[in-house]
Amino acid sequence: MKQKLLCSALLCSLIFITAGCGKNDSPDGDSPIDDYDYTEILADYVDKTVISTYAEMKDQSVLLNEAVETFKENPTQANLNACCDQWGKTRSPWEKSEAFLFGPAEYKGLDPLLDSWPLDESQLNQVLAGNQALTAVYVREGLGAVLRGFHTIEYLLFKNGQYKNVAEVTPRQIDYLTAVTTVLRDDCITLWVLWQGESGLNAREKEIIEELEITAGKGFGYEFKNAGNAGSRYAAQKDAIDQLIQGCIDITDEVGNSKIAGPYTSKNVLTVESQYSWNSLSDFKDNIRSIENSLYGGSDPAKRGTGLALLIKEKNPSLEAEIAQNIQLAIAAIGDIPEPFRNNLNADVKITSAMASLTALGKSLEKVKALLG
Amino acid sequence: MRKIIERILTINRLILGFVVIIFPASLSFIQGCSEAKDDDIYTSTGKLADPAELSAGLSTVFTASNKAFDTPADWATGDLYQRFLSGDKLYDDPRVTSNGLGPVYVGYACGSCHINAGRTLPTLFSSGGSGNYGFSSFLTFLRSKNGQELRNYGRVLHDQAVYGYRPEGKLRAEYTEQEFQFDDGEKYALITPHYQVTNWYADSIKPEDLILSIRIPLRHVGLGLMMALDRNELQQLASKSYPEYNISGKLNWITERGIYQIGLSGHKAEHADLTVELGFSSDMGVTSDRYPDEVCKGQEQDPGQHPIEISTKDMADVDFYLQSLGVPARRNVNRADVQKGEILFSRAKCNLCHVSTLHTGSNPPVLIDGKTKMWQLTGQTIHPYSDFLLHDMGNELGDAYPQGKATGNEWRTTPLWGIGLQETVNGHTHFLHDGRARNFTEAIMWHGGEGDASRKIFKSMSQEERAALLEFLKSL
Repeated sequence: MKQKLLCSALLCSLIFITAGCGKNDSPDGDSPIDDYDYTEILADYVDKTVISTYAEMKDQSVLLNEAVETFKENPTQANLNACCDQWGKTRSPWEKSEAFLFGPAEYKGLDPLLDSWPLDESQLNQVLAGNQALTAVYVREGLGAVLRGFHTIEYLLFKNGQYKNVAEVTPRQIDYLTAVTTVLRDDCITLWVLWQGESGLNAREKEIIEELEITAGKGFGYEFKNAGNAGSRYAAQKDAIDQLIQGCIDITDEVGNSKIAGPYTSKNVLTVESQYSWNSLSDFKDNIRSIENSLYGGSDPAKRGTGLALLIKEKNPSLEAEIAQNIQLAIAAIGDIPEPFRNNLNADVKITSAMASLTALGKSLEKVKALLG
Repeated sequence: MRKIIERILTINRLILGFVVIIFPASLSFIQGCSEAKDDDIYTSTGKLADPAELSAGLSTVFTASNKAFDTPADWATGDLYQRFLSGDKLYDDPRVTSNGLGPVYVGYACGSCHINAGRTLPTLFSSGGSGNYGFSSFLTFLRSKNGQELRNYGRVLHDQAVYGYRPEGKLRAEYTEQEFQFDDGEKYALITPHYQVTNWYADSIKPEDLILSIRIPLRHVGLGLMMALDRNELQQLASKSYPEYNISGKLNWITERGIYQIGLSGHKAEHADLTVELGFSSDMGVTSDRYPDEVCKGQEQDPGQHPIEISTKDMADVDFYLQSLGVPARRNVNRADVQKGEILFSRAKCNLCHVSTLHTGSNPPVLIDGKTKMWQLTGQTIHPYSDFLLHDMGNELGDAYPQGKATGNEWRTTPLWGIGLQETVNGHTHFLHDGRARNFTEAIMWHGGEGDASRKIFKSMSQEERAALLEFLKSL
């Protein structure tokens, strides 16, 4: 009898406590959207945001490799500066891709290959002090993920936020730069091809993909666009839409809780990403722009298509306005942190304000899940 | 909603404690209550959860994205969430030489082999063996056939090394393919692996003197709930047998930290904890209080003295992260083919080992710091689709590598929760201990020994029935 009474009491408590938690997450009492046709949204997301961003990164990475080749042939300060500029131009689309790190970037390990952080400075310096021939093949097959990619190149090009003085760059460092930018170019082309498929490649791209034995068929983008159809790992269009939103939520969380909060909490400047070039805050702002591009139909504001934001606006205009505002507030708050981030980890007010803006953006994005059901 | 769940947990904990003290015999009642509690769980979209969706009680998470295995349970809020984030970062951030990587290792981060707390595509298939990118995403267990210690090598082959050191060796994997057919004539193929160690850094060991066991990463789904399992229930399962199907599971008993206890984690249930310390030490070469020596100590490449490279506090955060991970809810539970598949799953007797429903006990798992008790994991009704017992899977899958009570042919029943999302999370569908099965069908058709009865029943099904059973697996 006592057991029965206790059980009843517990159940009553649970029912009481949980009774109100069901619909609370649904903004403004909207009912979830069932059976919506997301075809156009998915197509524009894939073509105008994802593939467009990766195509830009791929093109810039080719130019980066060419700039380094030019610097190798003629190691002047001007040519070194051109490499540094081109690093930034290649870096930006990568950071603008971080709202869609799912798929090939994860499956093929390309995220760590391109952007492993922290950099293993100690090991990198040993490699530079060694006598192993520094070829692209050696970097690709003989060194691990932490000794290639954007930050290895950054370390070789920048110092204390400045372009290195050409006198500081040794011939062996130039060899490493040449090898590692070649590998980065190949990785960027690979990522683009894995999303967009094997058609439409120029002769050089085709040659590189064949050398690397990459097979992409119609590409992950085709599978994403065809969610709900046979051959796609996404059983329903809604699963792909959920993935799109999750990608945005993940990068919001990553910027706020890891990229900013990590160094801010530990006060360890060595944990600040992109600290050699002092590019950290630009990285973070581009991360948030990747959310904007993902939701608003494209990476080029002049050529945007049908974004998920249009549907959000149709169903709940205030939520769309909230998201749009919180994206801009987050970008502005990050921009308010004094440069360089690595030297201003004590800027409590500005940093906590940026973190709060990212938390707010994350909460807005979570509401989209509830809106779409 | 998280705060409300936290309050439920607090109440549950208080009542649980009260009941355990006052009514020691009433545990089944608590389980009954937690089932009732499951009925009140809402999804992230605000819908009332279908009980069939709830894989792990309050630790069920409602996402089918690439983060389906890497999402904290809803009860991980406030300070708990901060600790989750701390553990997640330690799990994912690459170790570098200055914080302990190497000199020899297998992976450079927990997350290198367990992307999104899942199962990174093993380089067995992408590289034909050991990988080139600083990780191999599988383990090569070594032992000599005569039982003697292998001079210059340890328990595991470290096939990666930092600059200036040599990997202990490299694994080469080759596969031969053979075609078979179901009873209805439809064809399928299985690939049989052939492994060889090459590039030994020291003594070359002849293949005929060596036993190799290749293991791909386990998905880190539901590990906390696994640690909280009601041991009495497991022992009851172990006492059952189904002679008509030649099925009879047993628990692995092992000694961990000097205590003789039930093993739960690992492909052969060879560990009683989540091997966080062992992972840092053996997989990454990061030393700790529990494993203060480099894994290559006493070998030709022993670097000598070095400091402790990760604290127990940090590793306890990783342990917390693992135990706080949610389990993805099932999807499409009301679809006719999925429901039919579940019936066929039982008809094929898969459910006798892949047991759908278990319970966590009243004793909370304790993290490796020896202090943190995971009360949130107690008193839950869960659906892991495993009995966590060892079963003889026949010579087809045997590796001649005994561990604890597990013989060479015995393997722990793989928990199937979340398995339908492996392709979304990790981009591939390689299954079984060494990933030789390239999809669900092949995994089933590799089942020998105690799994043979199920294999035969599946083989005799119609194409439509087999497809329905696979759809059920995809819903997990």
